[in-house]
Amino acid sequence: MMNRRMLFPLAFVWLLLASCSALAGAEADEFAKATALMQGMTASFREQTYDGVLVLNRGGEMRSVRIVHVVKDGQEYERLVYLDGKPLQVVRGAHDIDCVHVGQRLLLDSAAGHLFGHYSAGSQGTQLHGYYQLELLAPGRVAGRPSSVVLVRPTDEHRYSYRLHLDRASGLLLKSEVLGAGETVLESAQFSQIMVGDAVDPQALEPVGDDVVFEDFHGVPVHLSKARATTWRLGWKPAGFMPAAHQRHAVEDQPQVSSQHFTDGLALFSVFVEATSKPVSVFQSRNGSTQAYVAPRKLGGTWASVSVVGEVPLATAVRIAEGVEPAIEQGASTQAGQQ
Amino acid sequence: MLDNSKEPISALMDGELSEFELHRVLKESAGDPQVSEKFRRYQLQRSALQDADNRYLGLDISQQVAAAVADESGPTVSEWPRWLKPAASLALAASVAAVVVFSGPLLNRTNGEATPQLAELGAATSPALSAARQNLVPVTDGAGRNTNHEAQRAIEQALLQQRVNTYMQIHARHASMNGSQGAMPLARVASYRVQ
Repeated sequence: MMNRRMLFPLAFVWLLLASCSALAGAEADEFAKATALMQGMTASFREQTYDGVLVLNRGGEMRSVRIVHVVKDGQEYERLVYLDGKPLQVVRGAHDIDCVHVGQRLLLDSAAGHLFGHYSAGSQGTQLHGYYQLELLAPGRVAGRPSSVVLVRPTDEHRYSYRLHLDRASGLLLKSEVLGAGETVLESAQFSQIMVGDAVDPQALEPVGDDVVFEDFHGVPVHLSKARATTWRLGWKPAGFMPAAHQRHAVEDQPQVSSQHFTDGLALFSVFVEATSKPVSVFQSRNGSTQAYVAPRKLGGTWASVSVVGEVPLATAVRIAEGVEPAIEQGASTQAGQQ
Repeated sequence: MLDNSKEPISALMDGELSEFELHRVLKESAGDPQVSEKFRRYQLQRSALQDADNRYLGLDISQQVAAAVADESGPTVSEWPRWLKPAASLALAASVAAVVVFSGPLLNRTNGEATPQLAELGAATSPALSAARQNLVPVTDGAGRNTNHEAQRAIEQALLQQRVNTYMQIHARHASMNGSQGAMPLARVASYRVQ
């Protein structure tokens, strides 16, 4: 009789623990699945052959771009055809599909917890903070193809949210929405139709007409650049953003504009610094999710125009611009350190 | 065709052009593709960017400014009687300002009112942005203001918008190279081009 009385509370506790454990397990599974989807997205863009029409909506303005991406003998080739307004085609290739750039590497390494955090090994399975949190939403359908939907939420105020539709068959990103405050859609891009794999005709890579620009997949990799390519540096940037490239833009060998580019794996921002004879006006503009903030700044006794451009909120762009400062000479800093 | 148009265009780029010179350059620019081309070339040189960064660039502010001037219903500046000149200055400033207004969302056209973009800042108290808000100038205020100054300011803002568009294109290229969404960011270039 006593045993039977004890049985119900024990069973209740057991059920509670089992439910918690199952819930934690389900969350961990969801997290792992969402992380894998994100990693698959960036790999698919390099490794898959596809041909589709992307519809871009930025601030209510719609533009269509055909994107042909062909992988052949381990090399990727690409052709973009801008379908509205003045004719323009951009042809890129060949690029080794094993050549992984900074943002892609950050995403592929995300299992280490850099971007999305990770689950601790407790029975509660707590997700530790990365720079974003992932949530799997109800499945969707884009361009006639079933999709998995991932909501990517930032854990600080320096990034936007993303709602991503990923092709269940190929892993390709079929639809991307960038969400601002209150989940307002700042920008969306989605394929209206897409072919993947053998259905793609490699001849679609061939440019037709004269309005062709040939591009390179590469900028100036940081590790190949000179040790100090710019005379300025960022005094502050949001945590998690890594340098992706820097560049000098020159006319007649007189370096006037230099830029540095950063990414956290999903968001990117660029900083441009140009010497000016007098302080420029403060200026701000936004196109879709791309924010631009220009401000005058005195660097080393001379005026410069500092422009921050990227998919970051305005307050973050302002703070980045305010932090731009002259770079300390490497030799000087070393000497100072030795003294 | 202008043989000596280099100096006025250069002055225009530096925001140092008189109202009369401004009007003359814009008018002649509208009728002479070579001058327009020269203006565009100066803009590109001044932006000090590599050829690779300018390949998508198709924006020619001079055409927009000239179109705005052409839309004026009054006679040309040289034919206006003296008493009409203040009104002419205002009309010119308003026309150029209109170009700025339609060139894109600008901080300076708001005169302190929070736009949705500024609203994003929330409680941010950036000194630079506060200073920017204090320096806001209403673009259609003609009550005794130096309209020539405002016209040149409007041009400066339009040129800044153009510069920002160029930077956005460069940024889009880097985003497509270093981001994780393939060529999608490069598609954004479509929205920075003149149609």
